[in-house]
Amino acid sequence: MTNSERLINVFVASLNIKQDTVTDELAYNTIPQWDSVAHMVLIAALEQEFDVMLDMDEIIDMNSVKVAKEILSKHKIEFI
Amino acid sequence: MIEPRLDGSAVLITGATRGIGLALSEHLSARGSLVIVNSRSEEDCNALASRLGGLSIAFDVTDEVEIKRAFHELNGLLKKRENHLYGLAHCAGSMLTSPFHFTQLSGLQQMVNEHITGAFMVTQWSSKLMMRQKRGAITLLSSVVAQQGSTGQVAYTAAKAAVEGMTKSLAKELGQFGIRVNAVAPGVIDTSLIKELTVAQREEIQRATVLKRLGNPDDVAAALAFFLSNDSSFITGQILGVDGGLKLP
Repeated sequence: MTNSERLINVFVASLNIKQDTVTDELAYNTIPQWDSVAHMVLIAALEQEFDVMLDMDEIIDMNSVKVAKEILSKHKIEFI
Repeated sequence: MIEPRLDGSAVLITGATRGIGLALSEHLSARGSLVIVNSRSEEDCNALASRLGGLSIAFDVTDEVEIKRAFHELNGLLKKRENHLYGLAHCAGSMLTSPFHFTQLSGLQQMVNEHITGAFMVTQWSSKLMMRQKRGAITLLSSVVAQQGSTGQVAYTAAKAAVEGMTKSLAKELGQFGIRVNAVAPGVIDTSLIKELTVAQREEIQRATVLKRLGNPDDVAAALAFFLSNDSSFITGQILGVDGGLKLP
């Protein structure tokens, strides 16, 4: 499984949304499922899945799927 | 004596090398918890962790950079042991006694940094780790003076009152992640914090308590352990006085 697929799976499971909803453009607070509570569930799941520990600034900054990829890339998780 | 049930999970104790923090570290370790002991001194932390068979993680609770470094280290240490952070007891902090008009802003800032900012940052990082398991227990330390006030302790009481507000708000916000947050409000406890009291002052305080004695760190440790244990699994957002009846009218 690619890192992109793993990322999509985490978003699907954490936000309880359909797979085709998870695009780079999907942004925090633009759908009811991605609220502040779900955001922390998502963060915990991303940390578990990719074995990283995100900083507080990164948690605040992670406001879209695209930015999530950028932040994880800083932790040496590559998305092609 | 019935002991609170503790499940052997990892508990981080700040300010662990003396006073209430030390008593709690020994209490939890004796009951099977993996204690992660913290203070500013790496030497003191290592010695205590070695004695208790726990983990040592030295950092200053007021230093954002150190805390970040420490929690990354802690994450790695727990991962190696295939363990997870379950509990936090934030016991670090000093007490400032100084008449209001003799209290410099630096003194107020110190109280804010230790008791509010420190608790805020350590809880933020700890709860993030606990969210992974959707379970956890956090205990903060307030003081009897938070609600009563105390002459000569305006800065300290202000900071401790904030801890009580923080406890209730954290309980509301973190409950949905399976994390409970409570606080213990000790009365006058016989630790180094009160070493400057005169014999007459100590006797006066003893007379003011219903139980006619000062508290000891073990009294507070037992209450903190209760909040960390499963015996308090339906309790959150509470402030428990451990004061020998000092607050009773």
